[in-house]
Parts: sequence; C-alpha cells; structure tokens
Amino acid sequence: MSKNAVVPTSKVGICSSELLTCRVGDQWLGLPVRHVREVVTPMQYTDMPLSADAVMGLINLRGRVITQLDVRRVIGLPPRTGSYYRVAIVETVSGEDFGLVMDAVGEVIELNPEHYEKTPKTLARVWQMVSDGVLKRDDHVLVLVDVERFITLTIADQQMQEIPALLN
Amino acid sequence: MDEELLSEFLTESNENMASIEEQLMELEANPGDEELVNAIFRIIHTVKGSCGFIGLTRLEKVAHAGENLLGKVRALKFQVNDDIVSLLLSCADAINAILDGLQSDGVEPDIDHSALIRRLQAAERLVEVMAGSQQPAAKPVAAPAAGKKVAPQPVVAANQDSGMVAEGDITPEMWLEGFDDAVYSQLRDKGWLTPSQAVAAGFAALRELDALTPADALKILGAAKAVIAAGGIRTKAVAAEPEAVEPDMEEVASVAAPAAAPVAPEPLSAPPPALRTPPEVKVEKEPLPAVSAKEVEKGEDAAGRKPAAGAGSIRVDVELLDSLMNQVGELVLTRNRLVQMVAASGSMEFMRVGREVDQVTERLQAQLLRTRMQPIKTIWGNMPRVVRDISKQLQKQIVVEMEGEETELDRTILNALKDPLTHIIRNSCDHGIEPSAVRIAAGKPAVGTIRLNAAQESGYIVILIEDDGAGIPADKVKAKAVAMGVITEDEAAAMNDKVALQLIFNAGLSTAETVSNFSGRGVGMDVVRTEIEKVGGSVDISSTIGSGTTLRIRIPLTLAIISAMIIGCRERRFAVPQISIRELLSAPATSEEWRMIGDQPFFRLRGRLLPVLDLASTLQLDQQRRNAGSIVVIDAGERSLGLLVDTIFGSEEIVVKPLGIHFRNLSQYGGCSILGDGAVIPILDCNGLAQMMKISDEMEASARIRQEEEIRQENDLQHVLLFTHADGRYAIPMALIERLEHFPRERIERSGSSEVLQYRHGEVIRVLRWGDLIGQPDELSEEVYGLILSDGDHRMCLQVNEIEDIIEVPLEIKKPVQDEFFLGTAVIQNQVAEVVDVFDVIKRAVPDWFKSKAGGASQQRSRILFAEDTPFFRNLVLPVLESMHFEVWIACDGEQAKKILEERVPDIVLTDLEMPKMNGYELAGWIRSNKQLQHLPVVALTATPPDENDEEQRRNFDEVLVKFDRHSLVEHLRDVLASHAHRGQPPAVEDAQIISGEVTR
Repeated sequence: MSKNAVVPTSKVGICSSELLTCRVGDQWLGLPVRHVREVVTPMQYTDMPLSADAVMGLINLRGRVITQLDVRRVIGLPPRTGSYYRVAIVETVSGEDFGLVMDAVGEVIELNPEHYEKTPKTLARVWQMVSDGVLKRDDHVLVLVDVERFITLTIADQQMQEIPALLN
Repeated sequence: MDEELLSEFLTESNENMASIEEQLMELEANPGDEELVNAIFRIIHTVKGSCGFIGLTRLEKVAHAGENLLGKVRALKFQVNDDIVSLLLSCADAINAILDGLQSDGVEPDIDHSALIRRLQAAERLVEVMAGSQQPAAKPVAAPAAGKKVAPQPVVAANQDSGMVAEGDITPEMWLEGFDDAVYSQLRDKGWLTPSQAVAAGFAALRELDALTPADALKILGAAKAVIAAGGIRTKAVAAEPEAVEPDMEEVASVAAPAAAPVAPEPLSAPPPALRTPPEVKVEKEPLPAVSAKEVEKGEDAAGRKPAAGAGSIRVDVELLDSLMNQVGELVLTRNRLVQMVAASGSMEFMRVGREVDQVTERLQAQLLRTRMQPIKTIWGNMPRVVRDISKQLQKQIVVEMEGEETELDRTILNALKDPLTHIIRNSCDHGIEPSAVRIAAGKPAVGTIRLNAAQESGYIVILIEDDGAGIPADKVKAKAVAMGVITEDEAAAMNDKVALQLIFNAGLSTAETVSNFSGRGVGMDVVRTEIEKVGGSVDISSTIGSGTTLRIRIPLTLAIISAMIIGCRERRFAVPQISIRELLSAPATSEEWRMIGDQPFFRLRGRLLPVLDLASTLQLDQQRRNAGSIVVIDAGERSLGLLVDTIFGSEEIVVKPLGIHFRNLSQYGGCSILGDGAVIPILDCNGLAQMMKISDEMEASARIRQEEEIRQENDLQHVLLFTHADGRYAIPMALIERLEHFPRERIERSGSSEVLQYRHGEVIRVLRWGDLIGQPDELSEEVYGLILSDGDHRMCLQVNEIEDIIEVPLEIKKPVQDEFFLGTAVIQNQVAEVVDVFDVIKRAVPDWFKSKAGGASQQRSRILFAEDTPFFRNLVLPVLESMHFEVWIACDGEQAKKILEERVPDIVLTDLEMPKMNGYELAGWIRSNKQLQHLPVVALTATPPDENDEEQRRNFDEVLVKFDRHSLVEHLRDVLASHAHRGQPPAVEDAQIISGEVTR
C-alpha cells in the first residue's frame, strides 16, 4: 500500500521532497507536499454516529464529501481546547481524500538530507508505525509522516485500541 | 498488446455479439432465411478476422470453427435444426466468455474449448452429409449461386489459376465491407485493395491513412488475413468442398468477366438482400485495375447513407460519463446553495441570473441522466435464449412475451438486475410453468407464457414477471419454512398467504420437490432480493394457485439521485431513502398505542404491534429513551419496523455520494449527500438498521400474543344504543335490549302506582321513565321511545325521549363513576357518553323485579376467579384453568375482582400480586375481612414473591406460587380446593342465584 512517500532508501533519494510542517500538541510533523492538496480553515462538519474515534465528521469541500480525521485523537492526545485548528486535505493512492486536523500548520520546507535520521526508538511507537524517519531542526524533531500508513492506522478498530500501548 | 486497440476491438465485438443470440433464435424459427445466416456469419467472421490480428489464438480457434460451420450452412443452404442452433449458441457463448475474460483481465481466459470445436467440426461434416438429403439436387451449391448471378454482383478480379485461395465462405463484400467510400478510394490509391496487398502494406502504413482510424486499420488487416488464412485452411483441410464450389466459381467468373473489368471489392455496408450471399472471392496479388461505374455509384450511395448513421452518435467511455455525472451532481448541490443565497439577497438582477443557472443545471442534469440510460431490452434480450435452453432441457413449451422493452434505466441498475432477472425467469420455467400434459389436463394452453413487463411509475421502474403456471402454494412455503426453522408453527398459523409467499426470499427456502439443474438448489431467491435491494429496489411476490405467479420488482430510475425523507434526531439530520418508507406516523409520548415488551418498545398500528427502533439510542446519540416523536415505518427484509425519530422535515431529491473507507463496516449508512444549505447528511440504510434491532424470539412471541389479544378485544365490538336526555348522552349495550319501540305517549297507562305498557300478545310490562330515574323528569313528547329490556321471560320498558344512534363500537369503559346507574363513561364517536348499568337501574327502581326469576344455577364445575392485569399472563394461565374444567371469571385488577366477589362467589380465587387500583394483598385482605368470603381459598401467582419474613403479607393466602409452572399450578389448585372441601366449608353462597352479575337471595 505504501508508496514510501518520502522515505528514502538512500539519503540522496529524499533531496527533491518538500514537506509541509504541522503541529499536533508539542509534536511537529512533516507531510510530503505532493500528498497535500490544500490546507483549509475549520468548516462546519457532520458528526457520523458510531464511527471510529479518529473520525471528526464529514465536511463538504466544494461539493466533495471528505472524511475529517483528528490527528490528536489518532495519537491519543487529550481533546483540543480552543476552536483554532487547520485541516490539511491529503490525497491517497486509493483516490479518497482525507482531512487531517492539525493544531497548526507551519511552512513548506525543503527536506534537507543532512538532517535526516531514522525514527529514534525513543519516539512514541505510534510515530514509529507511521513515520519514515525524522528531521532534526534547530529546536525540535520533525516526524516525517507516511500519509498512507497514517490513514490505515485510523481505519481498523483493533489498531485504534492498541494506540495507548503504542504511545509508550 | 496495444491496449487501445484491444479495447476498441472489445467494444466492437461486444456490440456485434449482442445481437447474435437473437438472430440465431430467429434462424431457428426460420431455418431457411439466408439473410440471417449471412448476418450471423458476418458477425463471427468479423470477430475472427480481428482477433487473428491481435493474436487472440483461443478466440480465433473458436470463432473459426463457428465460422466454418456457418459457412457450410450458408454455402449448402442447409436448413438448420435446433441442434445446430444450440451448437452455434454455445459457440457464441464461448466467444462471449472469452471477450468477457479479455475485458476483465486483458488476456484470454484459460478455457478449454477443444470439445466445442470438435463438435462444431463434426457438425460441419454432418451438414455436408445431410445437405445431400435435404437437397436431392446433385449440386447443392451451384443452384443457389446460380440464382445470385443475376444480381449486378461486384466481384473481385478473379484469377482462375490461383485455385488455392478460392473459397466458399469468404465473399467479396466481406473484405472491406463496412468501410465507406473514402477508405476504399484511399486503399485503391495506395494500391492495397487486395487482402494480400493490405497485409503486405502493414498495420503502421494503413494506420497512416487519413480515412482510417486505428481500429479500422486493424479491421482491414484482420479481414485480409482472415481471407488469406481461410483460403489456406480450406484447401488443406476440407477436401470435399472445392468440388461443390468449383462450378460456382466458374459461373461467377463468367458473370464477372462480362461485367467489364474486374471489379473492386464492394464498399457497401448494407448491401441489398440479394447481394448478401455472394458467390466467391478470388484474392490475387495483382493490383486491381478499376471499379465499374456502377460500383462507384453504389459506393457513393452507401457512403451517403452511412455517415448519417455514424455521425449522429459517438462512443463515450462509461467512466467518463460517471465522472461527468458526479460533477453534475456537485453542480446541482452548488446550485441549490446558490439559489438559497440569491433568494436571500433580494436582488432582482441576481435572481434572474440565479434562475437561469437553476434551469440550465436542471436540464443538464436531466439530459446527462439520459445518457446513462439504456432500454431494459439490453438485459431482456437474452431472456428468450434462457427460456429456450431451459424449456428444451425440461421438455416444456414456454414462450416469452415482453412489453415495455424500451423502458429506460440507469445502466448500473440494469447491470445489477440482469442476474436476478435471469434467476427469476429460470424459476418460473422450472417451478412455475407446468409440463404441457399437466397444462392441458388443467384446461390451459399447452404452451406456457412468461410475460415481462416494464413501466415507469413516478420515479420508479416497475418490472413485472408473470407466468401462467401452477402458482405457489402458500402452505407449502410455510411448511418448508417451519421445517427449515425459519419460522415457528405458531407463526406459520398466524401468517396470511401473501406474507407467507414472501418467505421464498428467505435464505435456504426452495419449494421445488425435485431439485433440478436450473433452480431449486435452495439458493437464489434470497440472493435475488439482496441484489435488487443493493440497487435500492424492492421485490415482492404474489401467486394464485392454478393460474400463475407474479413477481414485482420496483427500482429507482437512477442510483445517483434518489428521493429521500429528511428526518431529525437529537439536533442531527439524516436521510431515509423514500423507497424503503411505507408510511409516517405521529407517535407522541401520550399515544395509547405504545407497548413495552421487556425493553423493546412496540407501536400498535392497525392492530399489529410494530417493533420500534429508537434511532437516537441505536446511533448512541442519547442514552435516554423517549418513546416520543414520529415513526417512520420502513420495510426491511420480510418485516417492517418503525424508526423512531424526533422530527420529519420533508422529502428531498438528493445526490447519493459514497462514504469513505472509515464507514465501510457501518451497515447503518448507505451513503451521504449534501443538502441545500451545504451540510453533509448521512443516508440511513434501512436493512442495516434492521440488523441492529435485537428482538428475541421470546419477545416476538409475547408481542404476537399481545397483538392477538388486542385484536380479540377489537373484534369484541358491541352495538350500543345512544340516547340523550336533557344535556346528557347515554349509552346502553344493545345486547340487553330486546326491542326498540316507538309509540305515542298515550299508550303508557297507569296501573296503581306504576306505569305500564301493553306489549305484544297482551303482555303488560312495567314502564320506567329515564327522566324519573335520574331525577330529571320532563314532559313526554308526543311520540316516545321504549327500550324493551328482557331477561328470560320477563320484560320491562325503559322510556326515553330522544334516540341518537345505534352504532357498533369497541366499548371501552373508563373512569368508573361513583354514580349509581352507570358503569362508567366511554368515548363514543369522539363524544363522551355515560354507559348505563341497566340492571342496577332496574334493581333500584323495581327491587322485586328479579325475584320471580328462577335460576337453576347448578354448579357442576368449580368456579375460579382469576385476577390478573397483564393480558400476556392471562393468556398463559387461562388454558391451564380451562383444562382443569374451571368456570373462569376474569378480573383485570383487584377492584374488578372485588366487584365480582360482591356479586358472586367462586370456589377459589387466583390472583396476581401486583395489579393496578387494588393489588393482590389488598384483595386478599378484603376477602379475609369479609364475613361471607373469609373462608374462600385464595392463591397468589406472582413473579415477584412477597417478603419471606412478612407473615402479615403471606397470611391471607392459602398458597403463594412463585413463577408460572403449569404442573405446580394444577397441583396446588387441586390441593387447595380439596383441602377446603375436606374441611367441610362449601362455597359460601351455594344457593345464590347469579344473574348477569347480580346476586339475589
């Protein structure tokens, strides 16, 4: 399923990738720009009763219905307090688009191979499952998120239950 | 393999093959029709020709064998029989199967057709042998061919020497048939007019020609190769043929020669019939000189006609259409929002533009929908074939009649319907239509008919499949369902035939006594229903024994846009597809139709208890159950259920959009849509919701019992007489009234202190004035009414002034009033009336009236008073009591029991403990405190036992039975009765006379 979005078998392979930086809680994430269609502000959404925990309703994006996934809920963070958030609309190989709800969206950066490192074992296991490595920045670590794997993680209910365990 | 080429090849071959079945069957009906043979031959030939080029070897072999057989049939003018047709049909099936495989996988499926090919080859030889007997004339081929010569036949230049490529089944028009003049002239210009030249030029060069599309080029090459290959095969393999053909060739040549120069292949797409069976082709390597003037003329003719047909339509990829449809769906939604905003703006200018956008969108949508529509004919087309094959095998005679074949449906739906329809028709042939002998014996025509009918009915298509067969015996279906454990015997007994028939859609039911090849394997009808429901449709069945069965399928015109009811539940909105909705009910909390059985709410609807699914709790929107709101009655499978919602907003056309991957496992949703205000709304899937409903068998059973109980009460309608006096409105059950008399007031005479009336046969009866009884005397009018009340041979007359009506109503007496004379009040025809307790009236007015009444109330049977408030338990216990030969008096609560006991005394009392108004403890306490009754045995039957330690509570009972158990109930009642008899305490009022609830001494 995974196309190995950003991840580089060799460091050279990652040179051309651009990343959109986002923040969830204290964690900065990098989404491969070619997966990101756009970033939108909070929209009216329709709750879907009985749906998986990660699902934060359905939004109408110019006539298209998109499932909104709250990243906080996926990684097991407490609910967002303020009303501020941003939704990164990402596309997947299956053709379905998803809205990933982030606390904030930063900038688009060039992936600098110099700063690339394998996902450290010290990072929560959920990140090890969905990331292809990290990028060391001045004051923080940016997790490179494989969008496909991230979406898959939100689908299976069993996996959802495992998440608390993954965070340790 | 070039994918583009393959897909063009597939599209074209599928189109060609679509008509072949029909034509083959037509041929079966008219075996001598040469035109048909030709047409069929050409189809197979074209397939073979093209596939030879693309390298589809399997397909080529099958097609080739078919082509050869057809060629022989054509050449020998063989009258095909049904065996040959069957074989050719199998050949067509095999071709279709390979085409399907190519379509789905891109490669030829791995199917072994060698047996079929051998049979085709054998048939080919057989045709040859049999042709001799069919046409005793020595030269089977020469004769027909001779007939052809007279036609102005264009013939490819014939070189007599090259006998090796001469052949019987490739004709001049074959090669290059179907191409217009431009193609022809370009080929001529290039000097590629013969097949070999074309092959030599190659695909790439042909493709370069302006007049040729790649597919055309492919076709030409294929045709050319086929011509050459067929020639080779022929000379090698078929030894006998050349002789038969030879004379023909000569004749042709002799015709062709005078027709001036050798002629070019005919570019006609649709040659006149006479030209369709042409004699021979001779392919040569030499360039062809010229075309006769006549031919050019023809070519132009054809060219002039053909574009007219071709230019009017183009092929569009279905995916593109689907995508367009989605876009328009979104446009419609955006339009809806725009229209709302424009309306809010109040600007005339905006409104005008808005309206235009609105209208254009509307038209666009309607027309785009039309592009996806196909006539139902496209799936009905092969039904005659299905029926033919089955009837052959079953040795039945069946014809298919179709009506409304042009009715159009969305192609997605059509595709989904194909299999279910085939299955239904197979079933009709197999189980429905009887063998001819049986039919004749039953006085029906020997040939059975299956009638297909399709028609549009307000946004839906209704398809009827009727057969005039034996019909389906409902009791057999029931018996089977019981045997299979689908329903219980009780359920079966309660079920009406129409409902029972629907059981055939239940998985695992098939009523055929013998399992056949075609159906009756016990799978199928449930799949049929599932498939139909998948595309939003519904199906039901009706049948009349002896005259046939009808299946009715109802499906939406299109899947993309459906009509839905928008409902509200706890501040959320949901859409329910209209097709699943039966009706809408208002169900306020105060409604008297609510019933609770266990935890499960039911709503009484026309005497039936409808299980109600609370949407709020089903979707976990609210832990609190309200049992209030509106009920949407939905059809889900075999049963209907009520969906309890808060609000119903109204009906709306919505565009169905699929839900994302996160909702795949949620069967409650069937998709989503966007409303006019831009909000996303989930569409509920009624079948999915029904699965959420957990109704235990026990609950269903008690629901049914309660339902029957209520129906019985309902059947307990009473005729009541309504009369008025002053401002009062009164009712008397007619059962107590013997006659209604209307007479002048003078007939009421005085007799001592009382008034009397001379009744029939000189009988003098007492008259009581109603006004006097209730203390509101008034003047008698000229004419008065007398209600003649009778009991045994005693009568009296109750005089009233004004009679309002006599009607039949369920007499439900409420709020017993303390007032004497009255049983209570009842609502009759929406007005309150006081129900008169006639005997109380009489007793009070004429205390001695009953005195003379002799009552021989001999008590053979023990009498039991049974007090129980729930109908369910009453129904449970009653049979037991009756089996013990008790005379059972029933009270619905303690108070009623008390009232009965005040009037008559049973041998034993059986009472529930928890009852409204007066509970079992109070009742027992009252009995013990009553002098006349204190020795009466009292048994308690309860689910909630009294406190073990509370002697006070238990003391008044002879026995407390916890939980109903038939055996122990019987034993205990017997014991208690016996011990009382033993103690020599007979029923207290053994010699009391009991007259309709009144006790006198």
